[in-house]
Amino acid sequence: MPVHQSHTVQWGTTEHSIFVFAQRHDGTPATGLDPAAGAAAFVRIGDGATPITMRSRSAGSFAPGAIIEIDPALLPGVYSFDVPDEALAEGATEAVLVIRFPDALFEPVKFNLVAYDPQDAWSLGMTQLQDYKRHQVLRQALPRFTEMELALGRQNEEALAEHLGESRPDWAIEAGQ
Amino acid sequence: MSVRTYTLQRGSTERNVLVTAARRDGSPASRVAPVSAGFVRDDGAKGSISVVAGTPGRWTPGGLVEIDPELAPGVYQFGVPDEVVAAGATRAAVIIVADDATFDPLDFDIVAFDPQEPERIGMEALAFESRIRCLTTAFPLLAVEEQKRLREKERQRRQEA
Repeated sequence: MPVHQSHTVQWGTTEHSIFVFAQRHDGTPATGLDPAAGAAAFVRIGDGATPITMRSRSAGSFAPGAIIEIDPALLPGVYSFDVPDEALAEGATEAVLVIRFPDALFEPVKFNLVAYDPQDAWSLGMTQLQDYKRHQVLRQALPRFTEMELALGRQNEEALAEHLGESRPDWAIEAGQ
Repeated sequence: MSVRTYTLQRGSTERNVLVTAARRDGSPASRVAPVSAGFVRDDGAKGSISVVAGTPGRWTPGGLVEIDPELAPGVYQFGVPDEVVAAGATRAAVIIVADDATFDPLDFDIVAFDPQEPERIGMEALAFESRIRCLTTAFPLLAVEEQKRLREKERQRRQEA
């Protein structure tokens, strides 16, 4: 059976729920599945299979291994499944989730575990693109600019101190300025 | 049944996707009359979708049209309603129900970046304005001096003109 459903998730993501789709052997949507009759497991690349205890839960809360039918009339065959955190933990690049029921078929779900954050609009979670990192790069790459910037800062502080009638800052006295 | 996963930027609008339909025996399902459709999002939102006749290449919310029953039987274009991929959720599913065929479930990966944007895949940190702001905040006092110099130069230019 081919794997068609895939998720790209940042490793270490916790309390992650996904939608899964079930059908009967004749191809019709499978509704009304009893979690107690199901079995699930995940495989992380490089590891063996880990069983998942399936359970039911009420809407709104997260419980690892819980499967809940969304709406059999509006969305027949659609379930929400709570993925155990260990399946998505750091240390593997790929994981596959398998859900089995005696009277229904679920396609395996593949997780691509990545370092970046697909939900971060600023920089996809790439720290090198955060402003403070780029400032570090700029200040190291342009040391004379950095010195000029610091000198301007000192001038401003001195001017401010003079304006407020205060004595020169300690660092200026120490530096003999 | 094969689940179709699509990666779309949150807030995308007027998007069409290609979906496939099959008969119970697995053969392509042409000229299917859909009965209903619905969606669910992982932020808890769900609702029904009014399925209407679509036009190839044109977006209509809920618009469904078979592209070419002779050349590509069972391949349909579906107009994704904007609320399915609006900001606020990371995942959404759409189910199209028909009496005599099975449409593949549609699974939307709703992301912050824009896979179709060639310059910076939608990352705000790489926008021109963000980079300028980053430079000026790295050397804020020099940036002020630079602005002063530019304004003075502009003033002189105007006087000379």
